[in-house]
Amino acid sequence: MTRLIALAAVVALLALPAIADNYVLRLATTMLMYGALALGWNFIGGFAGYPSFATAAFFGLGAYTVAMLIKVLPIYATFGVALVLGTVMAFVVGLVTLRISGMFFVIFGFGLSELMRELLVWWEITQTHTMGRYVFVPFDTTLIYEHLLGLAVLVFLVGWLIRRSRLGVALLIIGDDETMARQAGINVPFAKIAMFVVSSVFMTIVGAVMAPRFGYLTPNFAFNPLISFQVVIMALLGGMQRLWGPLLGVIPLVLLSELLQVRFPFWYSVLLGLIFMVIVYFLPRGVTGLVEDIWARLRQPLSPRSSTDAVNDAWGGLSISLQGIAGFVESLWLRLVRRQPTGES
Amino acid sequence: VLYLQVLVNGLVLGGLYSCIAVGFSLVWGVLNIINLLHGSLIILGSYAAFFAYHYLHINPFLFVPVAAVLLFCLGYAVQLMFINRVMGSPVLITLTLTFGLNLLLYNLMILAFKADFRKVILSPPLGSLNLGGVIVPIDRLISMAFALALIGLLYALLRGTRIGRAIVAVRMDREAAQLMGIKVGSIYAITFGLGAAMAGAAGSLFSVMFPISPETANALLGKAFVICVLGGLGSVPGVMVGGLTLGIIESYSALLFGPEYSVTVSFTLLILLLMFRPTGIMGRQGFQ
Repeated sequence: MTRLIALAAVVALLALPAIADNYVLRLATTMLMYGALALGWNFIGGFAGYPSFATAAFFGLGAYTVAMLIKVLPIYATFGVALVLGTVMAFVVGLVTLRISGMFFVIFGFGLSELMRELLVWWEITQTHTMGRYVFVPFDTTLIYEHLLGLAVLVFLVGWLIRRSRLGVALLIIGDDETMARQAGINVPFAKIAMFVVSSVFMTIVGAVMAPRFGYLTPNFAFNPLISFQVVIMALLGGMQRLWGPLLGVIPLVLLSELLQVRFPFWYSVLLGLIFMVIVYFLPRGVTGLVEDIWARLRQPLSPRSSTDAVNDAWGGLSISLQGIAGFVESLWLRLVRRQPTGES
Repeated sequence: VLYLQVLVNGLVLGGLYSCIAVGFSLVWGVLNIINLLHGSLIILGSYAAFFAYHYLHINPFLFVPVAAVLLFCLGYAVQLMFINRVMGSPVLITLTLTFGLNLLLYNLMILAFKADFRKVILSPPLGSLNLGGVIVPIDRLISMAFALALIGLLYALLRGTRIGRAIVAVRMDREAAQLMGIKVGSIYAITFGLGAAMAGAAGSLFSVMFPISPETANALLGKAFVICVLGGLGSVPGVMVGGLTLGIIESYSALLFGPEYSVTVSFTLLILLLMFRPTGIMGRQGFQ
């Protein structure tokens, strides 16, 4: 049944370029870009619980490889070069994960994107004396759309296969408790590096395919840390428990940011910050987590005591709105100022 | 003499860098949160000092305590209202929250102050000191003295006062501290407030030495990253060592490669350190 729905969705998406106008197609391209990135990120962030903020580094690597080589190589060859470079860098990053984790890995991800950007700026200034490159190729939006759709489906299938394989189970255990995984005889270094390479190669290729879509690239644009964060927030909003979870976050956030960018161009970034906060407070386990919680509540026998115990943040937010505005303000006050979850447990 | 000059420049710069990073390190070490707001808080302190000098003619050095108090209040409120609610959540959650807060503060600053660079220009200028061929601008020297004094003050506060002891206790074992009657939530808020106060104080010193713009915030945050990894996370001496080392490395690399690549050098250093010596020069410790 789910497979049929998935198949129908893919067919519908394939038919989109024929029926939709250019604007819708561009929006759908952005969605597919973030969709593929978020699905790829979920291998690292969701399965194994490694907080990776290196997405921008790989995305930018792919985009810039294409931008720099497009004058000398045919476009598919540049994709190939991006693939090789992405694999090499992913291997190195994978090696690093053997040594550091947690906060230090977060810093590493940021630092890697920043370093790539700085090195690129240095290279462009000293060697080519330019800042920014044009990517003009006969590679129109429809073609990019189709490539991204293919990539997204491929990421999804690879994720599905990994989940069903021994590697997938190994990753879940590593995410739970790395020492235990090692004790259980799992080849932890191999699993981690494999996971990084697979995930990051997809991010690199997405960047490479998107390069003609942007048309003009600067280091600041291609290695923007906001890309890393948007992918993370989309996966968070969608929920990381399910393979398809991140997709549920991509669609609303891309639509919302498009709307906000058109309506409030000056306030866009401020509003984006607010959206980040709302998601963290009210949907910390994402849409799939919310659905699971509601489902669990509905299946519980109705008794007022036990249901208040089981209230989680998101559902609490919903039930507040049933008490009217006064009740909402009061409980918001309680939740923001009086309640300190660290002081009680 | 040239190398000596570069060394002195590096040390003076390093003093300020330590002051920039010490609040970040404190919040990371005690709250286990990467405070992405830190860069913007520093710049907020700079703007406060700039406007105080511009409109009220208050000397930025005298404004340091005022900036610290103002930012302490802001930090205390932010932690109490926003961040305390997600303490103990996974890294992704806390990081996304501070990133969201930073987007808010950073872009509000751009809207309010515009993105062009401004600088406090002291009149009359303080001039510079000539110590046997080595030239030290006096305003930088005072900044460094202030920075070191502030760090010393923070160190004394952590070592010697009841609040400082409570912060350290919470850092070591939250639950045990709670059982001893420490209100963990308000200690978190005080810690974050202290981090913000150090940021504000560093910001007012920064405004005397460098031109400021909201855009500077990210570069400053990057420096705080590098210093914490360089010196080893979680102790005041570690931050001092990290800050001074970064200052010296940056001024020598400015001599070798040109000043515009000092950021490239410091990030290269960050990545190499994380790959080969993630515990930093001083090793990983905790605030004691």
